[in-house]
Amino acid sequence: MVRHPDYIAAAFLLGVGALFYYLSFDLQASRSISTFSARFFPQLASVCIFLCGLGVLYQAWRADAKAMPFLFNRSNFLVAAFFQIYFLTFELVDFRISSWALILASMFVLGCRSWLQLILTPSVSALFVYYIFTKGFEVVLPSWI
Amino acid sequence: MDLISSDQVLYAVSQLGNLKVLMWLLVGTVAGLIFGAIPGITATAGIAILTPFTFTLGFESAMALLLGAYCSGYFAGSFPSILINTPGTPANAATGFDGYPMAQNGEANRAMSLATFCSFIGGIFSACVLGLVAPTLAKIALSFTSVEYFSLAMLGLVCVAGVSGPNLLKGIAAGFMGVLLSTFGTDPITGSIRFDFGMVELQGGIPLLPALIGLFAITELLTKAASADTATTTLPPQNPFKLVWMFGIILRNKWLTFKSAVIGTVVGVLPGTGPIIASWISYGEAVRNAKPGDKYGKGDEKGVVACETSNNAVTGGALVPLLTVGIPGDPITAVLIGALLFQGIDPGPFFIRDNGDKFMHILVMLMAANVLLLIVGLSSRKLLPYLVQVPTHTLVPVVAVLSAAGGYAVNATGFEVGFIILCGLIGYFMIAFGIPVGPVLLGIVLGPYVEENLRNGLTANDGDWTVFLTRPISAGLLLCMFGLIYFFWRTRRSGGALATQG
Repeated sequence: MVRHPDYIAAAFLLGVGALFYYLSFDLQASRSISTFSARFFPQLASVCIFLCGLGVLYQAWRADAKAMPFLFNRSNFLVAAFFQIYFLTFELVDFRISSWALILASMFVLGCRSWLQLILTPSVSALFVYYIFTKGFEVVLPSWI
Repeated sequence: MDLISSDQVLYAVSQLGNLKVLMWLLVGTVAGLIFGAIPGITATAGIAILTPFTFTLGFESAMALLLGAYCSGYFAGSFPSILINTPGTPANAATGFDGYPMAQNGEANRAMSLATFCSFIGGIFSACVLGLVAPTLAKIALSFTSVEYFSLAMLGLVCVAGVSGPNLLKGIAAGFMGVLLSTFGTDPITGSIRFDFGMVELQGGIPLLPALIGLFAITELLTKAASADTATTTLPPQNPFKLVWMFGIILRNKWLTFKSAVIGTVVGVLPGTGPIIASWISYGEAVRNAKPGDKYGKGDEKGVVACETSNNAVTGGALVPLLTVGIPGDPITAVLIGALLFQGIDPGPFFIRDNGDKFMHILVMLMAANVLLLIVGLSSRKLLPYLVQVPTHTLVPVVAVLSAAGGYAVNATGFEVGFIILCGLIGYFMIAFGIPVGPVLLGIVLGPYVEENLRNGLTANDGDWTVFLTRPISAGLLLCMFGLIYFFWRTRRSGGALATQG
């Protein structure tokens, strides 16, 4: 069991630093001045992240035990899941339909039980945003019709 | 050599007669007011969401929209602070110390009017300082070389990392993560592709706008979705407040107002600081000079005057490093730099010399935004209590839809939209584990600048790293950077010791 959340933060930083240092070896190395090649700066940044990760690890080791942070409850877990589906399928579904569905589902999960609000807010908001972007700012949003 | 001609000044002033520009300024002011007044949505997220709207606007209208939102977003957070003791933005937290007790004593109208008027004074003062100081600083900056620019950018990065959270190392690591992300795409010097992971979309680099919408807006929405709506506070009947009384209050507190405006502007000029620090320093300074009879923390109007004057005085100050050396002072100006880049403008030492008209336009719009803030703020006092209580269940999905549409507007591809949610989820986990996201954004913006100047500086000096220490300005800046690291480290150690002692 991890006894301090900073162990997770340190592992994340150490992982990112090590991963990108390793990945940067695939980048082109200059023949003349090797220190200033395309890999020079990413490697420098990776080393700095790794060193900070070591520092955070040391702090976690020295610190008293602490509870893990709160991450998700039922409602924001579901909202995060809805967001993922909506954002990742954004181009595939008509903007008005996907936005209406996202707003309706999120409102319900976040505790709205007023039928009037559940009917009006998703429809009005989705159409309003659609027309603002398409007519006002000439952005072509995904649409089936 | 004058960097700005009288024609350029006249051109900028003439834009005040352009109805289209004024309309966008009003739209920006109202939008900033809405984003700022809703607890949980910061002005930074608001500006990130508004930036895609500027793609089809010209420079003048785009700047009017963003500067309107910039000024009113900073100030509007004071309303929920006063009315429900929940700051709309972290910069308004100190306002609640006296603003909320004033509302409980039936003086909410007085507190809100004061907050509006003091924000106006702070904003105008700092805009004047921007106009006076920026051209001179830009002249000095023209003599800088890559060596000085690298040191200056590092100083900015450390400043933001230092003030972004309770853990300095995590802040610095977040800054370097942003710098690392900025290396994705084509290497500006050798032209080779880095970290594209086989995706053509990444060859042009990290998409800045989706990254900042994800890191700020989506992260805030997920955090807000986790907390149910808090019970609304019931205030007693409020006393009427005549606006003419405000002048008397300001006259009585003229030195406090002036001092707070100076503090806010100076803090804004320092890279990486921002309105949160400005308002706390001003409030602390006001309390330190308290006279017998003052009742700070129990509803003293001076508390509101100090905080609100200083946090809006940051607006002009923070634009000084942005427009003279191209270094954003805080996350919100980092977002503004993104908007400027979309307009084809590269803020930096040559900005004022080459774009005097655009600099003057920004200055004039900043002043006009403050005037509009005063008008809109005072006239919307009756509506704002409803606004601060927009339910989470409506706010979260509607802002998410706006964010997705904004991200799609960048290139009309699903990649940007997917990138938003990726950044949002990463940002959410980072914040949960105490790694701030502000420095990541600043790292993404400053990364190319740091890399280019570091590599140019080293190449021009045969790879000699000591050049950063032997050139006096660079050495001074690096000394400041290490001094700040030591200061932040000491402050946190003493803060931690105090916390341990209870």
